Amino acid sequence: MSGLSPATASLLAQERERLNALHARLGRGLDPELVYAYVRRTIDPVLAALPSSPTAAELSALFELGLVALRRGLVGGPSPTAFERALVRCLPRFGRHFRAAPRELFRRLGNGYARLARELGEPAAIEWMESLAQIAGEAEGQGELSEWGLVLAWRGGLAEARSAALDVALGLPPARRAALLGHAELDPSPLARFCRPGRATPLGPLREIGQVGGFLGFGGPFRRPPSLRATEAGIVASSAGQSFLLHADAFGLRFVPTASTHADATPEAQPTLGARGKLEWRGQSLTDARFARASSLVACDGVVALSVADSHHVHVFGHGEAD
Amino acid sequence: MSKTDRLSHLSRAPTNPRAERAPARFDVAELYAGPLGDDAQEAGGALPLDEKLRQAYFWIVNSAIISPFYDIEYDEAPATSFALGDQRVSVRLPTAQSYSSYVLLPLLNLAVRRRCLLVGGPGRGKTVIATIIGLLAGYSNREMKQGIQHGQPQMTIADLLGNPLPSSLVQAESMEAVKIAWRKWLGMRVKIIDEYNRIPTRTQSALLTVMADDYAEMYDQIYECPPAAWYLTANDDAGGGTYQVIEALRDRIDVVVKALHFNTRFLGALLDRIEAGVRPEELVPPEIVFTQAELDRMEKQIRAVPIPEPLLRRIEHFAAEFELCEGAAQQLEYLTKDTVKLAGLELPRAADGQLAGAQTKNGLSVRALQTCLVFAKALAWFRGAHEVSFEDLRQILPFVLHDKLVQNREAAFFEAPEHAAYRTDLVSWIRRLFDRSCEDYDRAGRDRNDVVGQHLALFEQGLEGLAEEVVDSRLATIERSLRELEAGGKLLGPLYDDVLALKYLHQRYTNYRAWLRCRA
Repeated sequence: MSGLSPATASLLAQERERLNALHARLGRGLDPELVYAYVRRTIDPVLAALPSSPTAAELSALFELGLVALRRGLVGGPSPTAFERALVRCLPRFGRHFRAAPRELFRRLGNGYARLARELGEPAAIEWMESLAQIAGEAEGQGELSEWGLVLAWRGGLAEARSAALDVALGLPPARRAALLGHAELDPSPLARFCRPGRATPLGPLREIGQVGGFLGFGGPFRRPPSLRATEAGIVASSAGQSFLLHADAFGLRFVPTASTHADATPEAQPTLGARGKLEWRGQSLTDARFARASSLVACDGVVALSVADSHHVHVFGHGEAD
Repeated sequence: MSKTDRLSHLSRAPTNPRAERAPARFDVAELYAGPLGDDAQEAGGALPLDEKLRQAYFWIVNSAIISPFYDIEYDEAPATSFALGDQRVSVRLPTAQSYSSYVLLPLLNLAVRRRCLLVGGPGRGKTVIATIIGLLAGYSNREMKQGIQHGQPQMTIADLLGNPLPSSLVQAESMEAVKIAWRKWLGMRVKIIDEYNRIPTRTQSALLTVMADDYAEMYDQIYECPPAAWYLTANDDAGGGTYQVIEALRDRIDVVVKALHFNTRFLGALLDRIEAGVRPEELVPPEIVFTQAELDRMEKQIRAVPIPEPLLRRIEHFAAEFELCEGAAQQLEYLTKDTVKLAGLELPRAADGQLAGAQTKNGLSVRALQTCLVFAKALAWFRGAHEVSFEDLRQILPFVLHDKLVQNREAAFFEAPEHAAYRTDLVSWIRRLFDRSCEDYDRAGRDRNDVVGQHLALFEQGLEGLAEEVVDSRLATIERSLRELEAGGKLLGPLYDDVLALKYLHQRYTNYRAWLRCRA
């Protein structure tokens, strides 16, 4: 294979038999040209940019998992995918973590990237990997690095990670918390879920935070306009026999498929709807004529959600920061 | 693609694009699980297990066994249907991914490690599918061939279980000292008994012990078998054959699957195989072979699939339809078909021959109900669903209850010309029974109005610390409920179980009140 850096070429020659065996096991049916292209444009620049001479374990991890990624479409055909480009930029910056456990690191980065790209889009996944690479040098081990990655994923919009990420973030030193979330002050109370870290003012009035959901045909989760209920797991939307749990906070609003078997929530202050679409909750109100057509209205853990009979979207309300 | 390649071709993931299972609470590991596998897995085996099983299913139906049937039907939009022939036979075109019971149920049986009976005429591929399942469980073709037990009229217990070693038989001074050469198949995780209804009755009893209790016994010695998926084949659905199958053995069979006929429009596919000179058993793709750890994980995952409470209520309602036999006794608790059966008498003809209870000779055993729940979970899991759905249950029940609900063919229901086919088509009959039961359930508004359910839920909160006046009030409510039921008239199966439950609760509260008074 021509056009490779001398270090990569020498490693490839040294590991030739093992790599051929790997290819026979995992690369069956793959076009060899695609594998060569991946080696040239991704493996070679990553190995060349490592702070010290590349090892056989690093090459082997990139090669073996690259074959799996090729099958899954994470690594591309004739031209590099966004994941490959991010890998070339970021992977060398993971330095000693990559040296210590190359397979584990590559796998975690690949899986984390794939998940975020699927849930939040490719730009969010790229930003996540860049941010993680930036602070990787300060993490003691891959366990700590993984936890930081979770907090960054939450900050990037993966709202379903809120509870697990809060547990991690609250256990971190303030400086680290600030580096990950932009501010060391973090209010974990449910009512403050729509305030970003470092809120300086008291809670603002009840307001519409945004809308979430949408028709299945246009990329949303719902086949029919959903109905809402408060359960012990949170607010569950049901549509055409399927159930989705609402995850909502300052970083994102998302519906995630769930089971419909959650028990109903223990009663808490529920919102009411008055004439002309006046929504009242915990002594505060806001009015919008659209709300008058509400088909369900529930509150749970600091989130108020309202569905309208002829819409596939759900309105989400809560307390943001005061202006 | 060559003919041989076509036979080993795997469907690409995702095989069911709708399938997506979400965890109850997000965990760090969730973020780092994905297409490249997780730390505990090898890079090549990164597919979720349900996806892998679906790939196995599609490989079998598309490449291994020619089974172009979709009798387990799912819809996500109204289905188009047609009516053909003099009998106006209905042809429905399902709108969601549907399955062939002949392939799916043996696969699910592997996942939940139960006992599957494959019935159908000779040459329908019953043994082939069982062998393929064994190959998917990681055994070689040779091991499977050695492991199959072929039922025949001369089969002895020694043929089935093993032999004492002659040398130790001579020298042994006690039974424990006799060394037994146990048959290798006893240790396999996939067990195949071919033509089990040709095995002599005495040997069937030995087989029963292995099947039911996972151990074999000879000369006072025990061989403990690992949990296994069983596949039995028979040419005769009615349990005929050379020997009558003992009832206990039949009762241990969890699911019955019919090997359907060969659709002659697929003769070309048969020709391809002849010309390629290969058998599907020789071409199982390694990607769909399960390790023992994967099989164990799969079974655990299936057990964890939840069944929604309202669905459970429907199962209760359905199961309660069959046991009641009003003329069987004076005492409430003995008003069952079992009472009549134990007395060696024929069931009295029911006043209303259309009732579900009148159509069967028996009720459902605990084992049958457990099997229904397990297979419903397995089907939901296989489809990648978060929980068991109504349709999962509706589709699986006929196969599980096939041999469990014994038809009372004398019932007036079967005399109607439009019902005559139900005497032979047990799958449609059981599905119809469930549909009718659900209609009754809905008519009675049981989802909204379940007084006995409320009593039970209240009781479930515990008796600890309940004051005597609260107990008195609950007892009065139970009695009021019974008065209301009394006014309702007809005693049907579900009502019978409700009455028994109320009596039970009344007794528990009464005992507790007596204890309170004694303490005072």
